[in-house]
Amino acid sequence: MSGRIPILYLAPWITHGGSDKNTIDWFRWIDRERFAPYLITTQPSANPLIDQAAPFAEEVWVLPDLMPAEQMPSFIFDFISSRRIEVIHVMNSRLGFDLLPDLTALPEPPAVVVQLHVEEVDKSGYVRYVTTRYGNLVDRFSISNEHVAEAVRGYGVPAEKIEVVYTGVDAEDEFSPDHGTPAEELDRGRLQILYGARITDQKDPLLMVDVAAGLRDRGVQFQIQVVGDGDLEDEVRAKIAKLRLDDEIVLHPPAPGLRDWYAACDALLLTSKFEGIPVVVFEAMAMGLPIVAPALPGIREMLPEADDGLIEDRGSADAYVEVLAGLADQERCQAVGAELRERARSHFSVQEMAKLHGDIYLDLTAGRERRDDRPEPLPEPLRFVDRAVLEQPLVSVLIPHYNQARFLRECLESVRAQTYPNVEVVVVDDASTETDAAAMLDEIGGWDGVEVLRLAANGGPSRARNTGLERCRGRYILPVDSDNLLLPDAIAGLVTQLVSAGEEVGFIYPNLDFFGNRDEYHEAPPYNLYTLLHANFCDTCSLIDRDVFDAGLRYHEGIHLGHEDWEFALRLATHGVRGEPAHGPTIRYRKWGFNRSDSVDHVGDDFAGGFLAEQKLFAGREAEIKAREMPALSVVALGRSEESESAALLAALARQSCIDCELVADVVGTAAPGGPALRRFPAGTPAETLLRGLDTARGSFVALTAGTGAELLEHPEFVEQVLRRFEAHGESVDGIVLADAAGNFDFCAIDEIPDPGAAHSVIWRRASESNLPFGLLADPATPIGSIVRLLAGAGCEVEWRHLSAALSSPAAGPADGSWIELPAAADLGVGGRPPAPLLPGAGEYTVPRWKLTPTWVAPLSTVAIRYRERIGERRLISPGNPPQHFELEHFVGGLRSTGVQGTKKLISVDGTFKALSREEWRAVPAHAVEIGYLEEAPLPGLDSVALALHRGTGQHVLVSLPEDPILHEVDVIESLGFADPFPLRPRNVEVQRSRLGLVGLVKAVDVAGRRHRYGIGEVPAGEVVLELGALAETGLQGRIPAWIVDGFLITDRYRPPRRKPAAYAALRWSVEPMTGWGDLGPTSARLKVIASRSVQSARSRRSLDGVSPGPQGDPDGWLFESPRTGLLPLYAAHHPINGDQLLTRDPGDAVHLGYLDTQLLGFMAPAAPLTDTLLDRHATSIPWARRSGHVPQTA
Amino acid sequence: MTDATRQPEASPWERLGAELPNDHGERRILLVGPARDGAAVGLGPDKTTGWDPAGGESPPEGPFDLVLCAAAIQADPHPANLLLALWETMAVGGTLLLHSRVLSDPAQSTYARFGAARAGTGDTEWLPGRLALRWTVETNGFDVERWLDAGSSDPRGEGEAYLVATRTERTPALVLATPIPVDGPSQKGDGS
Repeated sequence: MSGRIPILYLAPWITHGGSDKNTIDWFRWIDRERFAPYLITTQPSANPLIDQAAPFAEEVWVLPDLMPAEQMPSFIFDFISSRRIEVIHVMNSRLGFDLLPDLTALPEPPAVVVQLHVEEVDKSGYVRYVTTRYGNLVDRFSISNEHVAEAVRGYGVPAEKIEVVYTGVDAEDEFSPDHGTPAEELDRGRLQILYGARITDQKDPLLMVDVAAGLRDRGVQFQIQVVGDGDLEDEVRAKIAKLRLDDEIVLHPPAPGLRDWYAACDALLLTSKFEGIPVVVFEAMAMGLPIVAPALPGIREMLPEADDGLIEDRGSADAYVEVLAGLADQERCQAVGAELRERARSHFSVQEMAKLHGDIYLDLTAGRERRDDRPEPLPEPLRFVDRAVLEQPLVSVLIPHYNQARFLRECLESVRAQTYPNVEVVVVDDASTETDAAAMLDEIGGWDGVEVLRLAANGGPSRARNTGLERCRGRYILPVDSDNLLLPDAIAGLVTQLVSAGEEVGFIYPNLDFFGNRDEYHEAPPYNLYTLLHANFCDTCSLIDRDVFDAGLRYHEGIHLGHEDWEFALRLATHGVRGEPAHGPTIRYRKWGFNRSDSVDHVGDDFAGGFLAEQKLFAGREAEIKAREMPALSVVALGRSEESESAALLAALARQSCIDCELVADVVGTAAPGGPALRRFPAGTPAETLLRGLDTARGSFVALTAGTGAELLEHPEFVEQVLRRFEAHGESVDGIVLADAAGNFDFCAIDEIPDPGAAHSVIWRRASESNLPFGLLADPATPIGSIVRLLAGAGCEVEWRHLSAALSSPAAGPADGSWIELPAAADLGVGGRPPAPLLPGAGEYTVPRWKLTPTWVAPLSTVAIRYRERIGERRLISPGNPPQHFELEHFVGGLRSTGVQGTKKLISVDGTFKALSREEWRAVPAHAVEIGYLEEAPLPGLDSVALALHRGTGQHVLVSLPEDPILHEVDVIESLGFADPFPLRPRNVEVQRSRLGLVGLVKAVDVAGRRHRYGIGEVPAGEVVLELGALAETGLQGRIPAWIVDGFLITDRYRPPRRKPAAYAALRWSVEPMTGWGDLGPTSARLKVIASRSVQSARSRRSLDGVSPGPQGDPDGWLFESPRTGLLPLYAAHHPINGDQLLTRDPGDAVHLGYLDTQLLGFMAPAAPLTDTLLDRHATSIPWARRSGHVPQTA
Repeated sequence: MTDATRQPEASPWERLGAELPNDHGERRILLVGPARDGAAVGLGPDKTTGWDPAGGESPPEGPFDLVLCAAAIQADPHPANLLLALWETMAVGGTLLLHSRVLSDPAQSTYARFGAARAGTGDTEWLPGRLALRWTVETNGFDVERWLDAGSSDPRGEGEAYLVATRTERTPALVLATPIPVDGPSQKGDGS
């Protein structure tokens, strides 16, 4: 990427439209030697053609598939920051347009290019929207034709900002007549006319039918091939039938590309009412087809001035007939086509389109300074390979001293009491001022093995230590503060530990046994450089290898009030020197008075953010360090990489946009410096590979793949997309299964779970393993599938996504039962909570206004909120806090707070709401309340805001469609305009949860038997009501076995009672419709119910025998014994008269329906493996219940 | 295992040979490992004695003043025993010039790995980290004087290490003279 200009292309989606084709061509032909193009799409779509652009993009991000809309703006800003985006190219992305004002907050805003293709007849598209609202924020407009350019100029955009760049066509290859293969075998004896357009009003397909009729009347032998669909299809078919043109007009479904249709046909016909630059015209021209089309401005630009095919009288069928009839002459037809093809090649090539865009980008970025973010190289690492293990070399105890004479003797005596035999002491007095110091120093200066240095001026402990170091002769150095005490075995233990430590370990740091004012023992954590960047745990009193000082390292003498030991430990780390915590207590740490360390913490000095940051010891390397110490994601590859594959795999690892990861694999080679980490392990048998791989992984998420890892990492955005996906979820999702579900773009959520054997990778949050009662288990024969089953079967949320991967053997079949226990997650961080992933650019660029609202809103917007009276039914609209006695009912939408072109002023007046057009704005009645401004056009993503009549109160209310909660209470009168939903949609990403390892619990009503029936793993007889949830399919610890016997659910501790009802109870229940229902339902209906109940209670008294069903055979499923986040409770109750069993997630249901003895049976997963829905499918009459469904349908 | 399959690259012998003093005097020199011909280190055959532990022969009668050992310790199923044999056949104060393949990852320096030999012969190979190699030498009665080279690394994370050690009077502390029987140690029946 180095040296290339990064360009972010923002598009709504990539589907079958003309502008989408241009997007694909842009990516295909933009000069990748000079530009690095990135693609982000911002609106929900299946993106059927995104794979045509993806191979040419550096990265592809389909945001609606990854995160809620409210997170998109900050993500885009992170993206701009981390990729150093210099140009943003916005093509029909409304979010992209609305972000332009926020971009101005950036210290180095990228240049903005807006591409516009078409001005809608009613100006409802983006041309007016972006020019009038944000025109001054756009650096250059790329306009697809002169006609639209004229419109843009008309909206006040200076001419110098406008470039006309025709979308063009690839006439040499993609749309060369030499390369097309006729789509169908057509009747070559007739003129074959292609009508390649959607069957919508804009294209005026009914006129096309008239043209066909005219041609037939002229006796022309022809056929029109219609390729497309649309909302007028039925009408068109009816007209074809009516005019008996079935043989002349043939309708075909839409095709992803029309090249083979051009190859099969002789001419192209269009009858559109308006067009921008129709791509089909370019393509047909390139393929050598004559064009017969209305002389709309855009089309007129494309065809030669004197072209006969331009129809001036657009609505005249005869005019089209006249021209088409002339084309029945084959020679003439071919001559016209050849001329048009030559024009396409010379005037409208995609290569020229890409070049002109390239020129724009170069022009806009000329003179920009490019930052070199590469961190400074670190010094050569020190390696400790010369420590002899069988010697007891001299150890120098270095004691800086300042006014601590009263403690110094005790300190020195603790040194003299060491069991280690070879110790010298160097005391450095830092110009003490207290009177007892001199005498003490005089005294100890005479002690054997103690040398005393006296500094003339006080310079702080660092200087004192550095001075003393010059006199130390020991192989190892142990600085000890003069008020602290060494335990007798301290030096012996520290030396033993250091000589047998690894070659990166240069010092052993102590655990702290506080005494004096404090009395506690602080065990130092394992060494972790990433943790050390944020907090110190390496106390001064560490045994240090002399090689460190011989390499020239010293304590920083510029620190007077700070943690010099912390700075020193980090400075050692820049030389590759690590520490190790002491194996036991070594030092007693005196807390007396208020020492330096206390002062630093007390005054709140941000030592890390201040002094340490200024040292720039690891500037620009935080993510790299985290990847090596505690990565967010470990990609664990079960497949071994051959030497020939390794280089490509490691290159793919190095290209990851997010560094915060490691690859754990059997691979040959080393990771590129400054990128993600590599941890190699030798593969073995499947079980060995699995065990070693997971034992090596340190990530807080693991991506386990049956492949070599290349299938995941070949996507440079893979790691970041995984981490962003989990971040967007919060902690509600525990895992992602990746399966090869062809036909989708990579990493997209898939609607239908494919064959479990297609799963090739599983990613899970290691903290979720705490939900697994037996820990992490897997079947080495099917590692991916078995882990998915384990996670899903334990109630973890696991979503399925597509990622193409050609693996030779299935990774996820049914487990064969040979499960093995896998290593538990390693240290996940402080308190078991892993540090947040370091996502590229996160938080670097932000906009102050974003902090003012809980979620992002478009610029200059206000949120209209509907409030409802707490006691009463009155409703009102307000943008702010509710009036007294009112509460929030619904966010109607985000309205513009200022009136701009394309908006209507929304007012509340005289008990109703009105949307005023621009001409009426100044005539607003004085007593009217202005609410905001609605969009006139239904731009993508907007909701309709409508005036409605509330049936209950007769009040006029403002509602939003389609999701206003009171829609069922109102009659919509008229749509007033359009507004952003608040919060923006999509609010969640629709995903398919895994059901492997789960069996559904389905509830049905047996109307004839007057009872419920339940099924586990199967749909019971009767009318299905809903799927209550899912039970685990296997029994592990912490699970309750459950059986279905005769439609009843029983467990090993619960049986539904089958007691015969008492006569009085049966009578009371029978007459309850009269005695207990108040005025509910007409008397006749209630009498019917009484009759029905009487029969039923009599039948129950005969049939119920008091014998509860018992378990039969293996359990049908397993309930979870303990509650956990995300699990649903399952309650059981029974009917007092007929013994019916009610299973429910809400104990209130039982009370409401008159069931008794509600008991909690256990917990279920919120999944619906059998019916796909946990929602009621339809209301079902429950005639024996007291309240719901008590009124017969006939009443 | 044949010499042909275990033929080391020329560089280990050349590297060790470069450390030989110009004047050998009457010092007895032992070359240990495959291709242990004196020519490999620039000496005539009459100047040196050769021994390949993999050949099953007993160590030659000592004492030797100078031992050059290349590509042998990594191939021996009992590396400590090989060092013990060298210690026994060397004179006190004698010099050992030792070469071994090592794990070059610093994080693995205190570990050693027995694994399948790279040559694919089906034999195992002992791959120590640098410190593991040093400690093994030291605990077998040698003082490590210096490393000749401990820094190389190949893409597999392995490298060549060379060190100079002196035979001491210290008794080897790590003796694995008796391999564990195939059927495992006898079971204790007294509950001790």
